[in-house]
Amino acid sequence: MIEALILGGLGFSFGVVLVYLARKFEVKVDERLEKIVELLPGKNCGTCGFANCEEMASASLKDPTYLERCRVLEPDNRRKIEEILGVSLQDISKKIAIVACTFQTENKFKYVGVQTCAAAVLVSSGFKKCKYACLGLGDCVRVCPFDAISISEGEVKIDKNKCVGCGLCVQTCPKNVINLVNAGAYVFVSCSSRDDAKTVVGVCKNGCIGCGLCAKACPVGAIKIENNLAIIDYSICTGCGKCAEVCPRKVIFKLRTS
Amino acid sequence: MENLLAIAVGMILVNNIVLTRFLGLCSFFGVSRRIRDALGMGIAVTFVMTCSAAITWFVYEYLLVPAGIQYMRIVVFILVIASFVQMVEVIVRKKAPSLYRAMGIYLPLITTNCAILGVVLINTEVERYSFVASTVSGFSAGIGYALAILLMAGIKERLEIAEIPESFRESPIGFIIAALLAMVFMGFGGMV
Repeated sequence: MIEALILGGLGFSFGVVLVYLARKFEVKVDERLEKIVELLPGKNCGTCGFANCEEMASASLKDPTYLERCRVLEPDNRRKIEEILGVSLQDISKKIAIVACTFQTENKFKYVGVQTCAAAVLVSSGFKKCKYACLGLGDCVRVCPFDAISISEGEVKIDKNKCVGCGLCVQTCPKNVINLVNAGAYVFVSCSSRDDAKTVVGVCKNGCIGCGLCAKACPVGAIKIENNLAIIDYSICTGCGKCAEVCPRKVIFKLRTS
Repeated sequence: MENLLAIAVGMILVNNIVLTRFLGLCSFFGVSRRIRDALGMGIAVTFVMTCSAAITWFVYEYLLVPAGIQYMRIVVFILVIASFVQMVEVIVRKKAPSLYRAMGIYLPLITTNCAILGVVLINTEVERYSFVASTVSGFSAGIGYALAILLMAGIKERLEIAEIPESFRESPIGFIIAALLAMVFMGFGGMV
């Protein structure tokens, strides 16, 4: 009897104190917060600059323009959040990540150290003959929150359908060999080498030598040669694909036809 | 005074709550991935352990002993610890949101941490410490826990880049390390 009384009494008094504290120290939570968090991707990739999606949601309650930073948000969910917040936001163009390398260079030595790109790049700036080449040890694979990147036989492949363009791999890659391009891009220069033609030919079967044939062939002048590398201005490119046809090194790829 | 020092050293090193008494092992393995997380967990456990050691001493000496129902101690202590953690959570959430976010999931997790209950039981039932000794014992047990989990986290961070045979990755190597650490702490045996 006495044990039941003591236990019950203790439980009751703790309960009363807890209720009192909960009232006194109540934290008001905006009910819209939970809805927004549900609509956000929930991958906590951090490319918006906030630690996770919840932080982002609470910030967007104060200033909805923060939502524009989320590159992962589905258009449908985006519209729903706009409705909840009663605002309309600028559209942002979807981007995808592509590896600007054709993996045609050879190893200059056998690397047996820690198997990450970040570690490998410290040894003689990588073990590939081309110093701009992808090392293929998969730092990008590990950092991708969307499982969009895979490696087969040393070649990094990014799944266009899974990639949302968050850009984490771009930040992570120590070789800066991954580029973010508009999802609507027609052609892509699959090389990052800024070496001169002689060096590139010596180390790679494909690599861009900066010959400028593509720039001459382009009817709208969208291609420039900068530092021995062809750069495509996607705001001008019409997607005719002439550059891909004339390229003697076969390093310009058609992503899709116009 | 000397007695208190002996209790503190005993709880931190000789009878380390994790590595000698094998209490609180779940969080010891679970939250020791990064040193930062381990430090947060260590601080949270130290805080809760100190306070619950103090509170349960009063409950034990002034409620359970006079009523002669010491056998109810486990249920009562769990009630006390759980309520206390809940109170702390409510207050911290309002008064220090940044601390609340830093502690995150660890605070509620502590409720079911057997290390806390273990220390409280040792303080009251096994040793019958005085109030001050009980609090010191709770605090040093918390420090011992923090020490153990920090050691573990430091080693685990190194393991991330070590080449471990496939079948030993993740948990198995963790158990082996815990065993080695426990053997190291056996070296302190007989000091106090």
